[in-house]
Amino acid sequence: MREPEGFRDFVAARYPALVRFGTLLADDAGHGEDLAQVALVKTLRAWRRLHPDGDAEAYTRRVMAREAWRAGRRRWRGEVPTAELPEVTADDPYRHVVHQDTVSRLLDVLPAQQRVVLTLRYWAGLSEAEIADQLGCSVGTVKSRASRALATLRAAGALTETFLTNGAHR
Amino acid sequence: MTTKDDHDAVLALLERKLNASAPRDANPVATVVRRARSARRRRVLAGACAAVLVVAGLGATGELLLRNTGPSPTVVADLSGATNLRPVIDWAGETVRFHGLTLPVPDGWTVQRSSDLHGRCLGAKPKTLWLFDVPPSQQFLGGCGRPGPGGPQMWVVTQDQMVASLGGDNPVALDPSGQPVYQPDLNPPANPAFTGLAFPWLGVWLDTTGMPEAELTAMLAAVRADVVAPRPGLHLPNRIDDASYQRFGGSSQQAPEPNGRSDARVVEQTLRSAEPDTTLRCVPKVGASLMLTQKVPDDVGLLLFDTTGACMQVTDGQGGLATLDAGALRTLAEQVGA
Repeated sequence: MREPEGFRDFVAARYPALVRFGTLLADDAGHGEDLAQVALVKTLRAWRRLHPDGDAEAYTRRVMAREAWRAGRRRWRGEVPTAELPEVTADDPYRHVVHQDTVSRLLDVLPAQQRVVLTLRYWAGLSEAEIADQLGCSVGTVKSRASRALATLRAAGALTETFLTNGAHR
Repeated sequence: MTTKDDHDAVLALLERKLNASAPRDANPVATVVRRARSARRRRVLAGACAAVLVVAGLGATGELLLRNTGPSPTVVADLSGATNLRPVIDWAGETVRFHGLTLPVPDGWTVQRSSDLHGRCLGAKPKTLWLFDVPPSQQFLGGCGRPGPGGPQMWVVTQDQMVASLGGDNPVALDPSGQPVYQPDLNPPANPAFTGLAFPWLGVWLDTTGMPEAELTAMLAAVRADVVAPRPGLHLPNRIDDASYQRFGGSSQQAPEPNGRSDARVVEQTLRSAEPDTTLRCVPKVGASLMLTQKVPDDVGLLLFDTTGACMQVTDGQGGLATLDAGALRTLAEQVGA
């Protein structure tokens, strides 16, 4: 398969942004980059109809979202790293840093489909209907995944001002 | 601790997750091309394996069929003809050309092609633009209730003798530049649940269902038709047995009886005197469509004309054009209750 005209420029310009998007969709940066490359393989195959008139980036992001969503359907998703957290004392000076790290990791250990919905809803700014359309599922499914994800984060204190403020001072 | 707005909080979390994220692959293009080649090799290999299995399976199945000749299951509708048109049709950005009609494809919609009108009823996804090539023998739009399943859809049907299937749906007039003009009452985007528009000079019928009014209006404004040079004279059945009309335009006070039946004999005598014309000069904005029917053998003519005297031209459903004198136009207007 030869490299078509314009593809190199597209990747050079958009790869970092696609990897960031993939990092949010996947559970870590490595898987995010892999997700971006998997989607770019499909974009490469579809390049003739995407370039120059089509929206190659929108296509790639859509493929990424769908791939991440499907990964959530698979029963076996490989190893899920869940670091065992050390017990901390009440006056530990690094307590809030550890706490923040813990909550940040919640994003990573959220079920894949919940993470995908959160990313599309809050990062990409899509409506619930648009997300459902992108993922090929019902709006109800999108709502339930988002609701559960927010409930998990809320229960862990990740959506509190204190947490966000500490994070900003870090 | 107070709970911050969910949106801002989640966004902040997501941004924090990205702090340490940077691509590690220094040459992603080479990696992607290499992975694409590998994927292609896998597909070819998988295809070859599948072909071997299919051949082996057919052999075994054929042997079984020879032993069992019972009835095969009924096929309700064969959707195998449905094809996503993006790779094969004449694309110009986000538009699709189909039998002289250029249509915008609304954002987020998909395009499918089929030769089976029932395709849109069975498992059809919302936001689908269907393009149907239908043989003349296949009658119009049976077996599927309105509005369509699941959400907005739009379909474009083409068949020979389109005018014979109009059945009260809304013919589209041409403006002097040859582009379609949608009459506010005759082609009602105000009723977005269902809008049927006939472009009889192209042999195309466009139907929308469930589309929000704003989206429908924008879509219609972007539809373009191939410019068709008017044919001099009107296409009329040899004998007019029946003349039914539908009025459009104006206020409801001006059109108290929008649909009805005219005296076929008077209409026929009036139209036979029309002078053939070749240049479109005006558009009937307040007027009527007349459906003229010959019962045996079947033949139908469709006319659009102005009932106010503002436009003296009459167009027919197959691109014919003629001019009426003031007396004839007044007679036609009386025949449609205007």
